[in-house]
Amino acid sequence: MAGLFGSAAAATSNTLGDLKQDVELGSPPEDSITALAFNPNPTDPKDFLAVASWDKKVRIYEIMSNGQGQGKAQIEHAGPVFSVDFFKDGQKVISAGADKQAKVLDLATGQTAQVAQHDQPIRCVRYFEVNGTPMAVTGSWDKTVKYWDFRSSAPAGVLECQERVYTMDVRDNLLVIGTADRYINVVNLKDPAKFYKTIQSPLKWQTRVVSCFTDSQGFAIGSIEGRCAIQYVEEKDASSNFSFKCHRDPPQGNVTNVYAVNGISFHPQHGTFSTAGSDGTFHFWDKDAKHRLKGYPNVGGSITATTFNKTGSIFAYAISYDWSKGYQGNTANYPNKVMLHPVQPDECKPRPSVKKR
Amino acid sequence: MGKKKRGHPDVEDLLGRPWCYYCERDFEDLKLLISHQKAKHFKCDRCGKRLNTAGGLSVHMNQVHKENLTSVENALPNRQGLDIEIFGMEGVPEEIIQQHNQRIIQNFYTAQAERQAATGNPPRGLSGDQGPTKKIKYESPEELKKRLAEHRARVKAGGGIPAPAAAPVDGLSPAQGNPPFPPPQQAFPYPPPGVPAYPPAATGTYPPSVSPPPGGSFPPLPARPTVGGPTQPPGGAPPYFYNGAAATADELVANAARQGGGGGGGGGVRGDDIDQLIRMAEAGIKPARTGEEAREGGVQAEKKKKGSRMVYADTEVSPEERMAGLARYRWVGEGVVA
Repeated sequence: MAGLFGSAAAATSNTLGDLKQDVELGSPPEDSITALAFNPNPTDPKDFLAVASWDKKVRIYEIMSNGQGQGKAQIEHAGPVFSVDFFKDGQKVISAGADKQAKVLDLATGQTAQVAQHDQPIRCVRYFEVNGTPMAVTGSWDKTVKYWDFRSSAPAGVLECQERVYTMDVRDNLLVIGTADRYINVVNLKDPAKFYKTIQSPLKWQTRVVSCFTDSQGFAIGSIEGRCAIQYVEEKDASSNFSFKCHRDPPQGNVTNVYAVNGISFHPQHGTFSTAGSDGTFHFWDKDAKHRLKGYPNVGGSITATTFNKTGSIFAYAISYDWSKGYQGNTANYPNKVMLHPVQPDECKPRPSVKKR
Repeated sequence: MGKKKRGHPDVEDLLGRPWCYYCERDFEDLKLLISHQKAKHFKCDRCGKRLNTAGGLSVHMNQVHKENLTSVENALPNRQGLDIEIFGMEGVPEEIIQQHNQRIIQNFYTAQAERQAATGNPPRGLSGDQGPTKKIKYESPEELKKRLAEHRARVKAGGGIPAPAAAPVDGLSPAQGNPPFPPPQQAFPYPPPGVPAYPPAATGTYPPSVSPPPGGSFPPLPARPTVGGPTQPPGGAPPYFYNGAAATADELVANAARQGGGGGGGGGVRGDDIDQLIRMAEAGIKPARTGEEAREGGVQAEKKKKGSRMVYADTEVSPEERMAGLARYRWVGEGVVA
């Protein structure tokens, strides 16, 4: 609809956020960024950000109050790194990647140790605790999910999945595993040896990312076809399940370009969440009000990973090439950087639930 | 048979729709518009109370929340003012209505022109005056058999996809170059194999009154053109023919673009293939698409719903796996150190 008012103008009103305040992280990785993680320890006044990259390294930065990052430590892998997570106390970082290993770095001592081994590259790693015991869970393209207790080189448990593991997320006792061929496995970490539930993704296309709600009552799924699903674990909440479209270009002629949803991150305090996509935009949503809180203009390249810090005052997003357009799309001047977006109080706050009168 | 709606409303219908002064959105009826305004523009963001007008909301804000309303929420930038009292369509200034109507009309004709460009259809109501828009295809059983035999011979000789080059010129002719009332048999080219052979089937879709008596020689065309004007007979040939063709062409272009741009891991696309696709698109021929895609191993997923194109459309393999397969990332073994 081209007319007096472009469609962009109509969308501008007050849902379009601005990126003016965003700060670029200095000395970023040399290759595409695969994962981001902030230290979750609420008692630690400092913010540490771990950045995993195809350049085979995980870099850990301390984020200063002025928004600048300072390199603190580094984990070296023998292959591209696909996933990174902090321990709950924020003292250790676990990462895993194409070298089929997971490694733990102790930030205090600077020591790195291998803690996990798979037959194929490890796509995902997450830290969790069972009754206060630290554990890690790894998901790999060898179609298995393994648990590790850091004491033995053998896994504490193995889960056979239907397909290659593409994405995983943990919150409290909820572990959600997304695999190729659109399987979604839900595991109760109190009973980690079996699937609590297996579903086929409600989305019709390849699962790209899963992310648990902050209250661990459910999870969000993002697919390559610009769509997200909100899914509750328990059957009784099934009526609240829904899915919505996102990360699409405005239609041109009768063709709409549809992009993959690469990242979903939940705000630690408000329970609202972000989606980020190959189209180079990110948005904040309120799942309960089924409302988009804020959308942001294009950042200049695909967003491959996102995360909030522990208080939700910083939203970090990585701009780098994500292979969505084949190797032709990967040009030398494609941006490759981590941006820190200071979260304004009103950006992520859910709307007060108001009754219609 | 009544006039068939094609999903494209008349300009009168569009102009008749009530629309919202604040956001220029139009609605089926006034009730919907009013509830939209109450929900989007006149709702109190403190307590959710829905007022009838911006003035009402302003008073409410003042009295209940002791706040001043300065602008109407969710409104277009130059329409946020509180000075105009709007309720439904009431209170909209005349010049704004004029602007709106003009925009609707302009959009309507742009869209229509685009549709025509895309589909090749003549504008509605004009078709009857511009010579024959519909040809009745009729073949006697003998001719059908003969054609089948020819076709078989051709398939045997050529194998695979026949050269589409023969088809284009004739295939596009009905609306353009043909003299009025051409001999019906030559009017339609034989569809190449692989294309749904519509002409014989199509005769059946015409209302009986227009269809020629079977078996007989072709009668003079019914006096349709003299009726003229908008009384285009239902099921007129060009719309169904061209709609089909254009939809295909769009898909083809999208397809070609995708295969050119995103064919990444699946190996290079040969120029010939694209040329062929374009040629076929021009001819309005559905390509033997299954072949191309089967070769890709179903990797390039065809988005069934027309109109959206997935930038990453591989249903089987994640981008990371593809990327990890590249030589520069391939992890070889224990001995290799970064």
